[in-house]
Amino acid sequence: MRPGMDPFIPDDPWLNCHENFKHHFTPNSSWQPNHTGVGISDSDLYKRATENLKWAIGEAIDNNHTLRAIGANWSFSEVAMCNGGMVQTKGLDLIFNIDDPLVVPAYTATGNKSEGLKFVECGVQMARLSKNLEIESNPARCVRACGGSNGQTIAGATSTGTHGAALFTGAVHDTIVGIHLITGRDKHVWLERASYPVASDIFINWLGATPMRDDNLFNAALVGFGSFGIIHGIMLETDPLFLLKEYRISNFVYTDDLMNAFASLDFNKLRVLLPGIPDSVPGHELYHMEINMNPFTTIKGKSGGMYVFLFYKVPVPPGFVVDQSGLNTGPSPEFIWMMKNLLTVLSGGKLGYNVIKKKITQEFEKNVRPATPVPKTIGSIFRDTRFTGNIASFAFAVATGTLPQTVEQILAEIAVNAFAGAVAVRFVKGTKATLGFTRFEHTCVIEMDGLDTKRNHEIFANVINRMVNNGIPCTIHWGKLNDPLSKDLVTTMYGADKLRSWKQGRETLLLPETRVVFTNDFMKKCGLDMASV
Amino acid sequence: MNHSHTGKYKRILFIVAAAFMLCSCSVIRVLEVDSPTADCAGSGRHFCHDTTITTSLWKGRNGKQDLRSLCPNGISRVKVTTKPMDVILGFITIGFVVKQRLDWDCSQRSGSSSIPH
Repeated sequence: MRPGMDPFIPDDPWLNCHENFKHHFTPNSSWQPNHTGVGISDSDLYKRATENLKWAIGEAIDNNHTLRAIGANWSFSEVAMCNGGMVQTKGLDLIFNIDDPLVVPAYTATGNKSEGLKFVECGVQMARLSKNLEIESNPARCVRACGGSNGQTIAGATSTGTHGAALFTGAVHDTIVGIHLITGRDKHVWLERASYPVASDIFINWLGATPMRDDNLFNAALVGFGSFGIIHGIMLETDPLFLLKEYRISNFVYTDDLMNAFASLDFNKLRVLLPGIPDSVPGHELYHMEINMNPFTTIKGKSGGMYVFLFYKVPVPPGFVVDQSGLNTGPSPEFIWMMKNLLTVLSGGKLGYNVIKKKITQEFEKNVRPATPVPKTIGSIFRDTRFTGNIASFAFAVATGTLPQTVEQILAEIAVNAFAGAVAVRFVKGTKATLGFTRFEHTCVIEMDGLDTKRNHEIFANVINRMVNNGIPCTIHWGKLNDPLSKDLVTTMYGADKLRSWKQGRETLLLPETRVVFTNDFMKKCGLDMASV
Repeated sequence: MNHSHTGKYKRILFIVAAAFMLCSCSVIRVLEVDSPTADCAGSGRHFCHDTTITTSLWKGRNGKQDLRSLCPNGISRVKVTTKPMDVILGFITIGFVVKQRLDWDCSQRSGSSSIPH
């Protein structure tokens, strides 16, 4: 067998880590690259892995089956699955430091520093990245954005649009400035924006890749859910370590005025309507903003159904020691499984509605707590997921300006159909990625997380129907539950021009024989497999 | 009539009990590190590596493994699962045979490297 490349035998059926779906791969078609070997430098291990990934694509072409890179298996939908084989990438876990000779002078001329860049192999989990940046690096640094948990691989988080709630920063993929993409059996490219070049010839020659500097191509490949080939490495920008100071505000009234202030990001007005909201000033700058709501007790003109959750960036005091320890306790998967089945049985009629309302309200109240008084690092706050097993997570994005109408549609739906879960609104800066679902200049991501019941899935679909019927533009998170997506809906959500640009990007980067390898059923369902004309 | 109802309830009770026996299990999870990483992915909630350990009086400890030696970068997390049927087996054999499933993940590496130039 090839050094650094083992056959992989996925369980049959294969389940995603949240166990929302079962999937079948073609036997004897999956591979697991690794970095085993004695006396081989990390640089050579990386290059060996590049050759192995090219070889795996060639095998898929020769054997006429599809192929996808799968990292942490984190997605709630089959967006990254294919019927052929899997390349299990979590063994590809190298992180490389970057220094001046590896970047173009134009990059540092604008005030950027090369040490702020990291070149991260696709299988590196966000947890490892944060540990490396915050604890192992000197001086310490941190990611600019991450999701609510840290189990995703960097390539998976990028490809599906993992977003967090960084109001002025954006999603994980918005911090990425270069992609090493394996696009065929004998082709790999270094992709970056022409408007924002980063890598020097020394770096690109080290990779042995073909440089491609093109904004449209880069933006298309950034959120490609594994359909542009195999992302082997990612160059991302990091920040000098900062801490996040938490605030929670719960004693306010849900009014039209308040929602309009959120919609227009009018912080002067928010300061009046939200008692205790701190000022954003240098050294204490607003970074993360979200609203959590219990949809059963959020009533216009009343308080108690919502709380606002804020994080402000503050400097690191001298002598600060990063502590990423502490258990993220949550209900066990077995308890969640039992609750799911119990609430499914009880979900019919008025009685069932009231049971769900009572349980959700109890759980929600547990989370309304004072803020943690001590500022922490981003890697200490957003850690291992609290909930595993039979959890349904659905998210869609709207323009911040349409938040009031959107919330009203959700509340109207939940007034008639009991949602076994809670609703959150996360504010995220819009993305340049062609099919990034956080596509609005000021985006609100509406998250509906709850139990993985049939009723909840119906509610997700009903909410999207309400959005479409009321003419409120929205998009759906690629990596979460996304059953409502269809060819027509994707066209409505992104528009023909963006879809054409994305497809053209794929056609430019992948030969027809390779495009077939990386085309899956999800893409066919969404019409993304079709030609760009 | 009453007998038929009693029989029906017994059947339902038996089915429910059997379902729980077959589907449920007791699970103990151990986090070796606070934010676990893994060097490969398992299906669903299973970790990447697993084995079934059977301890018996006459065979001794079967499948004893030094997990640390299997994980070059250290262990990330471990899960021990005992199914009700395994408990019954242990009960029937008064503890002479005990069966458990062991899942574990090896951590990803630490540190970072330099690119030669």
